[in-house]
Amino acid sequence: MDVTVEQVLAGIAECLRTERAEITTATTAAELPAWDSLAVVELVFMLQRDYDLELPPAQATTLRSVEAVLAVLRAAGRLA
Amino acid sequence: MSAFLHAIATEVAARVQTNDELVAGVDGWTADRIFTRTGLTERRIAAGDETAGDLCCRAAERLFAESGIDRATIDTLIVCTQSPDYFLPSTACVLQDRLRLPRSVAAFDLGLGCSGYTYGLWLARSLVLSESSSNVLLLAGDTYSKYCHPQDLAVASLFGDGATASVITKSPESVWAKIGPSVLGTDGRGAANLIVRAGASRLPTSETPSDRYLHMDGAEIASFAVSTVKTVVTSLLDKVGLRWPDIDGFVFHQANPTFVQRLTAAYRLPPEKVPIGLSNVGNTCSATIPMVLEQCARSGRFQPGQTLVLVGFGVGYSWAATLIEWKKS
Repeated sequence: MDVTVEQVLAGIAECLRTERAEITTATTAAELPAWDSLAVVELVFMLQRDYDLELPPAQATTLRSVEAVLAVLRAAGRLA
Repeated sequence: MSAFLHAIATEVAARVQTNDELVAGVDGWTADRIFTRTGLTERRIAAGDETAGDLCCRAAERLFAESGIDRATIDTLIVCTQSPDYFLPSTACVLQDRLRLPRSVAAFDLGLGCSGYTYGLWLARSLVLSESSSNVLLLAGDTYSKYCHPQDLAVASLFGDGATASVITKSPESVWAKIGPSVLGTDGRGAANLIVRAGASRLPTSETPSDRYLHMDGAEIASFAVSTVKTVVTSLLDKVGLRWPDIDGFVFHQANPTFVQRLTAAYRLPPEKVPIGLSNVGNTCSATIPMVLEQCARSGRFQPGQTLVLVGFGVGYSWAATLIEWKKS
């Protein structure tokens, strides 16, 4: 449990090249144009680089909301 | 007996497409966004009547002119492309005639994309080591831009058109590199994630535009790449008794500069060990690895005796990693 929600939100904002204030735990790709398919690729790399998480390819496409990213980290035991 | 990479020559399509041109008339995209996401400043786009066969032909002629290789000594021609001139005959047969290669040449196509060059090296080395061939001409080229929907910039922004020519030989004189072992792999479960569905036998025609153009699920591809590249490199190094820090350079398929930067960071590799190129060319599929090798040769980036790992990965899914020892000073 070495990761905080705040750290994850900051990482997501960096991947989306958007302001941290734009990102909340309720943010979804549908409401944020910057959250495009190339941003999802960035999220895949972030999870590997920052958290040593390798997603099964089919799961990568589900990274279209903050909650989905948090759920991946929770499932890996990295987030309470 | 060993197999050597004698030389590489490259060719790109003449037309330059800037990011500004690409985004013109497409809502929601800016040139800056394209650059930020991909690291590409522009890309090379084939003319309407210009094929991968044309680009391969020009690359081969450049190779013959620059390297002094006698075309009469070529006994195998492999053309790696997913943009063949025709359904049939194979592009290799057409190029045997256009390049005035001996009629005794064995010529065939290799229908792979981003893994194609390392598959080609593995195949050419195998032919040389088995004494089935003495001089293999390996052409790798594609025109993926013709498969891209002009409004689908998540895909169209990535690809450029180009080709390379390489000669793999048994002769150790004046060579660029000694070719070592490879580790290869395939997972057809990923076929639908990078696909042009319509136009061949399974779906000859379709009214659905997305079927007629390249469909790419970038997130799935990235996830596949992150895990597979690490696995295949580790398998190759285990095979030859080396470790990651022993390797002097990693030449990855250049999906795009940003992608390679992210892969480098994900594996915590020293950036100086990972050449990144083609920011003004785009993803030329099977031609990206030899294009970067040719740039490294020109700039003197690698020194004789250094050990490099080349890794191709992508459409299929298909992947291959090849060890080479650099020889060119």
